[in-house]
Amino acid sequence: MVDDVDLSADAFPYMQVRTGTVAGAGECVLLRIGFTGELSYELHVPAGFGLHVWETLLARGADLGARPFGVEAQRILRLEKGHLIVGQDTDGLTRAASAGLAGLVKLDKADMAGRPELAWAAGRTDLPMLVPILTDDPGVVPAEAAQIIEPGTNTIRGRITSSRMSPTLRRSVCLGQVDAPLAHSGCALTIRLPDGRRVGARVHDQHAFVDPEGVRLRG
Amino acid sequence: MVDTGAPVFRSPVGRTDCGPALSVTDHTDTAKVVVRAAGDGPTAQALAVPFARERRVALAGGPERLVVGTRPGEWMIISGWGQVASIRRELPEDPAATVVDLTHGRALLRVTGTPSARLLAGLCNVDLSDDMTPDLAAFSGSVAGVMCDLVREDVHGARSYLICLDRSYAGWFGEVLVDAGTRVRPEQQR
Repeated sequence: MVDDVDLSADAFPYMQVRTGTVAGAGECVLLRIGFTGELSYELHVPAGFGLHVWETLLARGADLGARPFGVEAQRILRLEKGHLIVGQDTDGLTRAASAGLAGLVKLDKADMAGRPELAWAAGRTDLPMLVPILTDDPGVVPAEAAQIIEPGTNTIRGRITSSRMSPTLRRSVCLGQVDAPLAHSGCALTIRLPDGRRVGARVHDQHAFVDPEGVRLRG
Repeated sequence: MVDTGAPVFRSPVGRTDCGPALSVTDHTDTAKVVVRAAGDGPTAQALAVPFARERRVALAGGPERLVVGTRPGEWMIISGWGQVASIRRELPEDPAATVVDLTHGRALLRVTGTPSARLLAGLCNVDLSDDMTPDLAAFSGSVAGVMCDLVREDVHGARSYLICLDRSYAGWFGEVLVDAGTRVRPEQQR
């Protein structure tokens, strides 16, 4: 469907953008990104050709098993990959570092808009952190917004921001915001469920529960 | 070479039939190019259409295209499908001009017939009398709650309006237009 863009992994690597023709529709923008954690492309096409490209994609991909999937499937896949949703897994006080995105902020640049605030935030060690969480009982899926409590106390130390049963891992996976002292890998947590029960959990060692090396993402 | 055939353009506008005396036609597949430039620069001189008016203009010896003075220092050029590149070539060199292709971003409908003003009067608060909006007048307003650029361009003596709006609203807008058109009573249609 695309003949004027080299789609090989070397010529068009992850997080790159190209313009080209898709299913005969010119002036399309191709983004090689992967919110779901799979090798994937986001196609921006002229609106009048949108349906044509969609139908051609499904027709040409039928023998490969291509088919549409919904937002719920997307949300599960992205959570398995540990990709956050801004506004759900973050809030107005979240900084790049507290969301695990410190590596994306290039403070070695001479100057940029917002640099003083970013530098200030980078030095903070007391901000709540977004962490991956696994419940001790893999069958328990804590409700989103369930309170995270310091074990052995009644002190609220955070909340679950995303949670789903992972069909890939056959267990629940979560993201949550916790106070900084509890944000280290392996830290034991208690989660208070909506019915009042308390279940044990631990901070996982990396945000991506599935394919942490990014092999599938990078093709 | 991948053979995918010519891409098929799809308009968001559905049905357009609203009775014998009123015609609603969908022209969303026309080329629509917005030009912004200084009012006294080479682009303005070449287009030669003042604000709030429209005219058919042959640019640089090319075919006639509809040029609408949509805002002070802003024009919309409307022409046939696939004409965007030609329109760009026909415009004069003007470093202060901005040319944006809105072919896929906007929809274009035409309402023609004696009761077309009555139809639109029920959907907007623009004065559609001949004194205020004569033939070849260009104006903007909220039609059925959607911000639209309108052009009055009568066809063979029949009152007619071109309505240009954001493509996202066009499916719904077309339904409203046709629904309102079918409610125009026969005596009003004469």
